[in-house]
Amino acid sequence: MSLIGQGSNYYFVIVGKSDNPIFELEYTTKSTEKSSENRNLSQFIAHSSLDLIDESSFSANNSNMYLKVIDKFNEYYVTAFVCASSTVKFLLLHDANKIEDASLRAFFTDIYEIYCKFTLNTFYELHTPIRSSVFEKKALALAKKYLP
Amino acid sequence: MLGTTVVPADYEIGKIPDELSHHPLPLIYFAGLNINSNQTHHYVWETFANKRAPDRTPMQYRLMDNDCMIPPSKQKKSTYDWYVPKGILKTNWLIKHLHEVPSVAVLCVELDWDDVNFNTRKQECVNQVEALRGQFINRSCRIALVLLQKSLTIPIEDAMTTERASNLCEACDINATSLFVLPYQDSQHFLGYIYRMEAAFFELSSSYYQQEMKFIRSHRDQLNKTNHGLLFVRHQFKLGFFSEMRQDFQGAIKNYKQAYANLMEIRSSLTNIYEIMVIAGFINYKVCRLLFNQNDPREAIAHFQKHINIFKSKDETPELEFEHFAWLSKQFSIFGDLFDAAIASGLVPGQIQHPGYYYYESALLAIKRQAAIEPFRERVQFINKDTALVLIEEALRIEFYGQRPWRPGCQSLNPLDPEKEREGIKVLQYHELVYINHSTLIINLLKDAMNQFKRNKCPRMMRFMTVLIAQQYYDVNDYPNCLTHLNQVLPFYRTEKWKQILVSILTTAFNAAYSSANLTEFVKLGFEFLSSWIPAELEFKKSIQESILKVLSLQSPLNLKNSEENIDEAWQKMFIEGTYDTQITIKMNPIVPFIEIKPVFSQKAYKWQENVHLKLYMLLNAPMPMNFDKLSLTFDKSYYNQFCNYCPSPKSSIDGDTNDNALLHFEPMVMKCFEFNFEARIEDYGKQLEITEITLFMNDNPIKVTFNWINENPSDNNKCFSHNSCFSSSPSLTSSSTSSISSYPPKFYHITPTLTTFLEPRKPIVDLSLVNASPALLHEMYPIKIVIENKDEYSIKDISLTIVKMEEAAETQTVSFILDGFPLALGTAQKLTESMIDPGTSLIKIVYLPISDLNSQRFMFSVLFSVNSAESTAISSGPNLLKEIVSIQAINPFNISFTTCTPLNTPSRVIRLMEPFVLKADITCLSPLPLELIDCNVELNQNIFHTLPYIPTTLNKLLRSDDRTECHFALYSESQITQETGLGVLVIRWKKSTTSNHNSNTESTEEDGCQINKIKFTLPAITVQNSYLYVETKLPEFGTTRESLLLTYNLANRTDDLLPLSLSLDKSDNFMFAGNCSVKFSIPAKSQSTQLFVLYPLVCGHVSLPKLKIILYPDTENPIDMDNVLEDIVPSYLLVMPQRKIYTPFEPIGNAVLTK
Repeated sequence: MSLIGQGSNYYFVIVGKSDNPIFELEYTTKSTEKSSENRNLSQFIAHSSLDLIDESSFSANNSNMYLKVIDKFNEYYVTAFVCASSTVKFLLLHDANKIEDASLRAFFTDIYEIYCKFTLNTFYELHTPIRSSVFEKKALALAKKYLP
Repeated sequence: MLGTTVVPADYEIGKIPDELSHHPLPLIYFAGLNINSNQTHHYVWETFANKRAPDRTPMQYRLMDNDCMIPPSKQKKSTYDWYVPKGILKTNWLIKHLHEVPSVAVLCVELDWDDVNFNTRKQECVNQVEALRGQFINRSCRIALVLLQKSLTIPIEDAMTTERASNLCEACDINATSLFVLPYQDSQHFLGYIYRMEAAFFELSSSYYQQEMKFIRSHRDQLNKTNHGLLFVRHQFKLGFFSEMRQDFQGAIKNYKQAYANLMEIRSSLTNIYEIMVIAGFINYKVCRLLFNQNDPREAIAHFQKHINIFKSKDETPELEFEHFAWLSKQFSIFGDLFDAAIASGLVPGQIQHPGYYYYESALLAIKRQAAIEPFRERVQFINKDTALVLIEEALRIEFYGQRPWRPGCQSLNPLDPEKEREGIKVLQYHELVYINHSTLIINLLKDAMNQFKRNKCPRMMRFMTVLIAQQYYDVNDYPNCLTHLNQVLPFYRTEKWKQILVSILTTAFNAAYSSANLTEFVKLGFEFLSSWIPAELEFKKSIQESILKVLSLQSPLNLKNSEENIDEAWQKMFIEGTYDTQITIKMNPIVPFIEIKPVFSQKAYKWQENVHLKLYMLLNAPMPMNFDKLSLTFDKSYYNQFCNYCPSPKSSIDGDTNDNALLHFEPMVMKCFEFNFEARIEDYGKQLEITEITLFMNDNPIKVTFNWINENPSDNNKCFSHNSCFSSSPSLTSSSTSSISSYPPKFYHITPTLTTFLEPRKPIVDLSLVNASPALLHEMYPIKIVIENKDEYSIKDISLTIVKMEEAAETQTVSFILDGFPLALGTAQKLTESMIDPGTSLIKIVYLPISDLNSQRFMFSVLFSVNSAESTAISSGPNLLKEIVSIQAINPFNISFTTCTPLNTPSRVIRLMEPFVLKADITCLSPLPLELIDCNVELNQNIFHTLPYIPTTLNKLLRSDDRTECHFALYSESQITQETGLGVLVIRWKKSTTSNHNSNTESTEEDGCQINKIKFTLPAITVQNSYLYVETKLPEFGTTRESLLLTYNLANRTDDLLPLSLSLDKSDNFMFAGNCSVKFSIPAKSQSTQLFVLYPLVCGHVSLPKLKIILYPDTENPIDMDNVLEDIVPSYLLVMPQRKIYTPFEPIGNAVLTK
């Protein structure tokens, strides 16, 4: 239960129209590697929290794209961001207790920007997996920039 | 639960005892009712206690026997100074006040006011009351007296009644308000009596509980926080409970919350932590339940969260960690139950706030509980079972809730006897290990959670729960259940393709199938596992592939899990028993494919009698090569199935490596392509052809496997095999893939499957041709002959024609063409004929197109028609379109030049007012075809008039190319025109000479002849000058030498004033003349003056006349010489003939041929 060592783990995923993951990024500021058992757990958590995104994005009074913390699971927090069309969702699963809301928001906004730019590529078909090393690098750079 | 037999399984950590979950109701005892023998008593009792409508005052009634003993109240301590409480809450207190100590005792006596022996009966009654009082020792329970009376109504204010009543009250020592009369024979109002009495009882009981509470509160002053912390909690809890008894729920909540706060102030130590936890759980239960009942779920959730946050981190020793988790888990499940009960009574849950999450949390804690006890499994084996059982039984009979059976009442900071403590803990561990079935517990909690998620529309959470349940089943080796659960959710996870999740589920499922020797599932999941999409060790995959092949030939698989050994036996047993399917069909669409197929029709559509060409690309991404026996395709038209079977005979493999490609042998990551060619049937033309199914067979083994791809979305073309919906093993999503399979051929990735093609029907053989004779002439209606020739075997109908002028927007096409004598607008469809065109015949129509300018123009002729065949689809019957474009180059038919002349026929640009002039048109024919000029007229502007009465000229002149002709018009102007103004237009009406196109359109000329066309030319612009004087000359046509002739000049003054002038006639050698040689005179305004001269020609020939000279205003400073003007209007020559000597017949030369 308690955190071992410094740093936090992050798991970022872009979810497409039919709830399929189209981009995944694992990022950790911890020195030790995580086990694969935890990896699929984090996917499970992210996946299940899609239920809650539906709930929050459908509620009428919510016009924000950034949905803040929508779910908590043990030490993990799930924050979410819904794109304008609300068919594409960004999820960030993390166990950092001290992270500022502003930097999460900035992270999502910047990711949204690079995602939008990426979708302008005529060869990219929407809601299919993103296979671009450039995009991956950019996303990683954003993660380094905003996620402690 | 004293006295009942206990079983060790009853001991449950954190369990809410029945007495606590019981809904507290005021307890009322009935005495004096003999329900077994007395019908009336039975009826009264039944009405009170059993036939309860839901809206009745909540009460609990009990019948009291005569010998029933009410637990006596303990003697209260006078001082608490030296009193040390041994625990927080006694286990028997709640039961006592719920079921044993009444608030009101009701004595029922049959006594009528007018009873004959009233006094005797009264005494009996008093005795009964006394006896009842005797049963309550130290209890301040209220006593009520009910008189069951025979009379039908209550006598109204009768003196006797009043007296007897007050008498009775006095004798029984009861308040008058506690005396009730029940006329039990008044069936009409009976229920009303009961209700009113019940309300009164409730009042009584309420006052009883109120008094009890006051009594408890009175102790508080004597307590101090250091010693009596436990009592603070206990008293506050009791206050809450009594409040609840009197149905004061808000007060109860307040009191319970205070009790909770007091509990938190108690210093927790290793000895009392469990007790605190248990009591906290109880109080929290009460608070949450009341809050839910009061319809305040938010507050309940908040309280629960607070409760959990306080106790989450309160750890016990590692030996008892399981107990902590068990308690936490229980808290969550209890709260879930409460929440669920609240929903059952009308609370509306939300998607993010419903019991499911609490059950889920509870299940997670239960899993932790299981994990926490596991390390102690070996340690407890040495425990004495009997002593353990004794201890557990004691734990169920403990005096205070939550205390340890081995040290009851112990409130010291540390356990007194460490040895006993260790033993006790061991017993608890023993109980946990032996009597608790964790898996069942977890699975039940997860199922509760799953149901809740299902009910509250959280499908993903629900599936997640299912996976967790399956994992639990797997952990307890219940593989069939595990597989059933996983198979429920696998389709969903497969479509969503979250790799980690899917891989982990597939791994579990595969292991379960393997361990349970489930052949079908093993083969299905095994094949799926082979895909390179699954990131597993290559060696492991190879052994799986080998195992599958072994299993298919009825051999045990390789040992895939290193630890277990008896699996082999299970497989063998299964083979011997024969409980396996000999035919396995695997639907490939949903699963992760180990072999990918992309069928491609070479064309989107095939023309008439074209061979259909189909390619099937296949790629194996399993780790090892694989062989199949047959490949077959199914189409929506089953006729074609026969062409697309591929079944390599074993012989062909001997032929050598040329056929290697033809075999159904696949190497990993090597793309193979199979081609099929076939001819379409005639009846299928005009229809879609679609692949509905592709099947691969593996028939070599005793167990046959069929792999089946189905085109699931016939309407949604090409969706099912496309890489969007399929698992593509191409560049993996995460780079963590450990499979070292050689790279994925990018060529395969880029193939787009096409599953449908269209067999185009034959086009009808109909020709459209346009016949025209170029060039067109400007402003003519240009004839174009349309020939529609039907060469097909069917007749055609519904023929319509649309002519569109190209390079022109549709809305500007206002020009109309002429068809069958009617003008029709361009761009609109026009039916050409009502009848059909039979095979072998043609339709000929002539269309006249307007030619409006000289630019090259293009017209598009579109002819739409349908084929007159109802039954056959092979020919496209629908509107068929024929298109032909005609390009028209127009030329001007005539070239015309205009000249204006003086009446003397001298070209002159100057035209004077009221003076006649001649307009000459010189017409040249430019057309290569002979043209017939019908007539030629001028349309004059205003102020321009013909000098002669106008007669339209008709020419009817045939002009061949480059022929010329002239037209003359004598005109004059009536007003001065200073700016250049057009005279008007010349209109030429002409037609093409019928003689030239006589042979081409004989039929149509009869009808409307060759179209007469009009062409207009703008006449030149002129200016008309004002003039002062007009001189009209009168002269014979010719003169004769030496014969005098008369020359007359009529001078007309065109000004509005008197015009002075000097006129002179120069001398000439050719003439002698008589008249005013030089004269000055004036002509009045608008009048004329005539000058007469007699000329006598001297010479013959073309001789010049004596020159007339006129000077206007001669005596003024600005005389005007009229020479210029006179030159134009006065003849200067005369033909003079020699004198006739012999008479010869003379032919006049014509009109005055005057040349200069």
